[in-house]
Amino acid sequence: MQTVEDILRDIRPEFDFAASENFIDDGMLDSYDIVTLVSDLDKAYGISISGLDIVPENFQNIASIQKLLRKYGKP
Amino acid sequence: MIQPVQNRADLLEALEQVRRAGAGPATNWFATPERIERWIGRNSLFCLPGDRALLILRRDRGFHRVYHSAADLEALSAVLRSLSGPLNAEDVLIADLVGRPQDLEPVIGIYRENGFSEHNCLVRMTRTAAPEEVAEIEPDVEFAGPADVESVVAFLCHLLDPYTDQIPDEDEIREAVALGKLVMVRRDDSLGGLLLFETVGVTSHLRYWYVDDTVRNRGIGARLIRHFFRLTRSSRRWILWVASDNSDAIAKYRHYGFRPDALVDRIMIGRR
Repeated sequence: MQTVEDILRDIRPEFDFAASENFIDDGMLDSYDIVTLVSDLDKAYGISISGLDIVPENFQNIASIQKLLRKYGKP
Repeated sequence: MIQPVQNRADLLEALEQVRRAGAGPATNWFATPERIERWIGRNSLFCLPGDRALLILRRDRGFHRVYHSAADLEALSAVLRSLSGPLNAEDVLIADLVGRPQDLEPVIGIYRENGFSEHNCLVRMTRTAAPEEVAEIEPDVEFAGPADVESVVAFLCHLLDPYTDQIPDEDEIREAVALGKLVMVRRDDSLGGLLLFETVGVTSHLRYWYVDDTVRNRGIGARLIRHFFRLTRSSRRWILWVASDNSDAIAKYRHYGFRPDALVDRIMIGRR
């Protein structure tokens, strides 16, 4: 299974996501990239992330995305 | 019933209600808080609540832009069907649907079913390589000043399609001038070319890069973009949007290292 880091790397291979604490403020992801990321996470983990959860704070960094996935029962 | 948006809190609450009802991310609403406040201040923002869906309408230059947030496609279709009646402006509606082509098709289908057709298609291009070092400052490229705002808006309005291009208003141009995000070349006391950009973190967005028809083929465009790369040399990613059928522009962007990425903007037009 793809990890969060793998999926992020597929979307924006030019960035070192592990080095950022805030992907949005650092300009590594914009709103449109988040739409793509949600779609890829849904497919990779077989989940459907609720619209309620599509807020910037859930996509700030790898830890916040992993926390979101745990909410959907994914490690 | 279409209602004016009085404040941002009410709008966020309406969006939150849709989110609570929804399982999927069906939306094309990506406005920043600053822009929302600006539009509300100008009384140009309206909303149409539906069952598990919300349409947001923004009055633009003689038409309305349509944004949606919907729990699912059925809810989106129902709220689009209910979009009728006077809008206190011309009856042209424009919706930007942004995403990967395969993800957008179902939403485009819903818009088509509700009387919209395709007006244009933009593709996003990205540049990720480090730009070449530019040792020299381009001598005739200068930052625009407050006195240039009016002529810049007129220049852009003359060149751009208001449905396809999000033409900035005077306030946005003024802000870009204050931030040093607008550079230009003058020719014979008039505007020969301009380049407007935004930078967030390590990403710079090339929003507009135009040379006046009367002074083309004199290297003005090349000097503007070299200057842009110089100003944004700490960026790691550069993005822009271009019409998918504008092969000349795409070739030019490719020359400067831009490549299409996965995103498209399908611009739908509807008339009521």
